[in-house]
Amino acid sequence: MLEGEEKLIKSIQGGETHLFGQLYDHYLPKIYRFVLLKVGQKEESEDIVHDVFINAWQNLGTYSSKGFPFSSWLYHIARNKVIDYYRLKKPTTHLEDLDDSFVKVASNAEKLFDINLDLEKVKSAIQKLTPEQQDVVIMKFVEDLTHQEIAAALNKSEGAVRLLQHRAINNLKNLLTAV
Amino acid sequence: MEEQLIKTLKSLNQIEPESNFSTLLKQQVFAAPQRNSRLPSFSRWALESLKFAGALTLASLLIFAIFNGLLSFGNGVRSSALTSLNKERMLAEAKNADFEINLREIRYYEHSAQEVAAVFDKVLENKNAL
Repeated sequence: MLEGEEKLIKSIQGGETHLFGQLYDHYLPKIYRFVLLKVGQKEESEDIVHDVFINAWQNLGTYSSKGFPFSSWLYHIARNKVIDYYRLKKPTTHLEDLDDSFVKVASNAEKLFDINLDLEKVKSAIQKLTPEQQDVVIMKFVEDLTHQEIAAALNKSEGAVRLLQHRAINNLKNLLTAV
Repeated sequence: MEEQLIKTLKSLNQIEPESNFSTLLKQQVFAAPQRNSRLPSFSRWALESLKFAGALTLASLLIFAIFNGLLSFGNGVRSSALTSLNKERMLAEAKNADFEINLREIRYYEHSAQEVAAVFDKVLENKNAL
């Protein structure tokens, strides 16, 4: 969560629209990763992220925190956009044909960590999870959101989120050992 | 295995959008018209107050309806008590009517007894004459 986020949003809603840039800079990488890991294709992900931020910008006047961070609202929009994407267009590209740039960016991350698990295999395995399990894995382990934030974004209870997380990790382990 | 998996997942946090894309999208976002014009804070306060007032009005109407319901129920009980009073009056009237009927019957029996006695007297006179 961005420091002083609630105040910032109130200022933007009050007419200081230029401050939206701060929210954009903070949340763009998070939403981009979330969408890219779910969709797996760079150009398609960029289109979806574009729609997410245009939607957020256009509807910010109607946003009210109600105790939940702005990120929950933003992830909620992103999730719906990904659902719309899959509903309107059946993906034809296989996971093996993932965009080169996606692999390139990820390979940079691979260099940073000395890990035995193949990053590509993990990404492929994530995409084999159910959409809800994908959401939880990305939000919890990639974005480090709290269970409360994830629950708000997915409109579920914290208990349900923990259960999804447990199942997702088990499924990932099974998928990775089966490969 | 789980630790390694989580470590790998965390490493995916290094994925970033291309800077060209970020800049271009930012420009597009700011150029896009806002569908719902941002409400100034006063308007939002007014809207919230309106919502609260609406809820309060509804609650008041509900309380009023319940109160009226209870009141009319009370009135119903009272009116049924009045009806019982009328019944008593009616019973008293009915009793008076019975009394008048009894008086008429007494007069009738007195009159008829006199007539019967006169007939008996005549019969006795005729017998004596024979």
